[in-house]
Amino acid sequence: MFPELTGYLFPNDIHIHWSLMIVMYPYITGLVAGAFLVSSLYHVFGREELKPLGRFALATALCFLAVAGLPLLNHLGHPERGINIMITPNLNSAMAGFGILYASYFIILLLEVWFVFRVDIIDSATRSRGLKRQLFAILALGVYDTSPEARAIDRKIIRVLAALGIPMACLLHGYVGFLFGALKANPWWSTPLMPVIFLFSAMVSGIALLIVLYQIAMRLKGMPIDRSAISAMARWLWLFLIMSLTMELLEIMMLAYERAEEWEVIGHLLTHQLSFSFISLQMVGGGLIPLILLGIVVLMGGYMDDRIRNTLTMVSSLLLLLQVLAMRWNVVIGGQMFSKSMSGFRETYVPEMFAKEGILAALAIFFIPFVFLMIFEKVLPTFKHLES
Amino acid sequence: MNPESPLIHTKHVFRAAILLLAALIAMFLGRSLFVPETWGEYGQYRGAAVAEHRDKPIRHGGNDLCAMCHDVEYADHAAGVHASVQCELCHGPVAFHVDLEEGEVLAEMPVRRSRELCELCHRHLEARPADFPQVDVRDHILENGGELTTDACFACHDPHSPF
Amino acid sequence: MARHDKDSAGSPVPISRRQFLHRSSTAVAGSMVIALVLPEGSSAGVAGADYDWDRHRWVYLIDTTKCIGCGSCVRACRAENSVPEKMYRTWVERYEIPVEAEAFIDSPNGGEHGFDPVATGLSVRKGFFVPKLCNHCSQTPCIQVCPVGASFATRDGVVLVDPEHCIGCGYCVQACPFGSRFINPETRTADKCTLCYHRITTGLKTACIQICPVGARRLGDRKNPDDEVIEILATQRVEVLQPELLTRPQCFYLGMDMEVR
Repeated sequence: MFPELTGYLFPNDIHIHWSLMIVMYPYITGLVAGAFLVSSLYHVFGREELKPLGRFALATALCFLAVAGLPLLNHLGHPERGINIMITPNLNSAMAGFGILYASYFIILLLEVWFVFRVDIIDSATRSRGLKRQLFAILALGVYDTSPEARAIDRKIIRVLAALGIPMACLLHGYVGFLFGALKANPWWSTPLMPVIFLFSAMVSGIALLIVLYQIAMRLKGMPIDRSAISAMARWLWLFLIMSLTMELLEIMMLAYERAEEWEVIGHLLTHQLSFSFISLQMVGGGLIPLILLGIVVLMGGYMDDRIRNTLTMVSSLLLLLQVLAMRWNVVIGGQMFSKSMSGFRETYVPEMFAKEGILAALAIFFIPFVFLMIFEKVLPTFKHLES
Repeated sequence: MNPESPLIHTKHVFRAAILLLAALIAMFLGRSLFVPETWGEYGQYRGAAVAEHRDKPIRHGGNDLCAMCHDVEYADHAAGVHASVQCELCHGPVAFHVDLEEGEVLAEMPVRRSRELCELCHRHLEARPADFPQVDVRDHILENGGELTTDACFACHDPHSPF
Repeated sequence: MARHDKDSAGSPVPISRRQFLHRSSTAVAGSMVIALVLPEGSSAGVAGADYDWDRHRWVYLIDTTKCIGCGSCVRACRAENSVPEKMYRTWVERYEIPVEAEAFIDSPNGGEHGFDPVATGLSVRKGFFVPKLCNHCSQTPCIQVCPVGASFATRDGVVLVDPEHCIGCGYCVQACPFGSRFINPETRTADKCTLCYHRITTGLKTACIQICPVGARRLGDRKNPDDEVIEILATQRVEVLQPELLTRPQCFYLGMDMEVR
């Protein structure tokens, strides 16, 4: 299927090297960052209304973090050499940050999860027999101290880890924005706003994910959906959405106003190749509509019936999950649909269904963290502390 | 340990910390095992790569090499207006024809008696420098009493020395 | 089969292998001797007796007033360096600029099989060809972004990729403003013009320079006091591509036009 080309493209520019996998990667790390923020709002800043979600958010962050490297490995020409990024990192390269940031953040998150669930691990260890007992004993590192003093120490450590984790999560996702934003060769990517836009839309996606999963989990368990938790998350979500949309629009407006060469290219992109994914999905369907719906929830929340609030936030969150994915697509794929000649375009890009970096691969990678989450729930329930 | 010591409740913290430290040390030591041998010899890259690039096989030899066996054609060619044109431009790289290390002929030298080959340079194009010899090929052939065959040019022009 | 001399009737006569090897070594600037005398892989170090990279600093000069758009350079490069189909280490662009209308630019298959006449339907008063290749910038964005140090510059100014260390992430391809790089589908690593490093370090010219029938492409050496190309850079008006990006390309152009991308 030969792509339709218009204008003049440099001969090597007709190929798109960064595929759907590179769209999935920032999407997944964004979900991690956003989920971790919600968890830290409780663990560090003491927002009690988010207590019902504190553990679930942590578990979600961990499960998604575990697969964050997969789309990258799948994309590399030589995944077996992927470890070179940690063996001989070129510290001038934003991409080299991946090795160090991913490893450090993984360690912090893993430790935090351990400290938060430690008492439950010990609990499960003492209550089970045989192999299960052995496994839990190993997880507990052979220490069965659940005294109030130990728990107090745990809480302090959790606070430190969660506090450390916030900048780490921001770096882990922000460096991707820097990776794009610092490329002077590509005018669609090159802007100082890029890391900030990425970060804010990451928060949007993470909070949206939690709202969706939390409501589903509560329905499945037959537990009530906590009103203040949903209200708080809707507020944070609305805030990050406003910031995110503002910056995305600001970038476009400035480019259009300055009418430099970039606008010739970007204007064409937005009205042709990205007209559906940018205007319809990112701005209107995924932007304006959730903005209104969430605005209603936040501003009229006090007078609202719980079911309406839950439904509005659910719909908004689903739309926002789609919106952030569209944003990643528009940046990654959009940035490759024009040539560096600034006078040629590739009019279509349709990812293949069965290709190595195709749609099914992306879906499979996205599916795995949910499986991990279900296993996590079985081993260490994240809502048990609410059942008393 | 003194049961009253505050540290008695930090045993799990120490265990976790030791485990973490062990993992970090292992990662650090492990890293140095995998750094390529010639890394850093000349800069932040694998030094051996330079020699590997230099050792790639040479394929185009230049006209003087062709002259060794094809001295008659070479002499004609060097005396004509095509003297600045490389033999390998029309006949392909010498390394595909002769093994440069063993001196053995590998394959016949490609000879393409086709008008298309001449047209690559000599068909008239707007973008070509005006002082470069170029013709509207169709008109040129017909005006000079030729026929529009694939080897029409060779009726009047010797490709080695066209004038 | 043996090599051939010509007998008095003009028919080829076999010459001995020793004769061939001896002659070829003198003809090709000693490179064959080096290839045969030195054991595989030793290459006497880059600062060895045969080539000292501290005594060279390569630059490239393209005269667009001479290029005829025959595409021989693209073919020669592909053959010399086993460049895969649809990928280009060098290519030729055609510009036809009509009066009071947008420039028409094309590069059909990189110009590899030459160009067909094009009917723009407008009166074209200005037309020219522009060969392009990796600019071997001295302040590259590509080396800067390589996460593993697979992209590097030699001391004589050539930007190369280490295909044994490259992980194929494609970041350098995105970072090059000139579209010089690509991911080689066979090696699955980043690839680009190497300035025929295997040739210039033995005194030969790059394949594209050697094959060019009109001398549109030239190689220069900043460390050679008598270098003609350096003389041109010093005395004539030259340009580089996308100078505002400050990548400091070492590939210079004569006869440029504002329309060139």
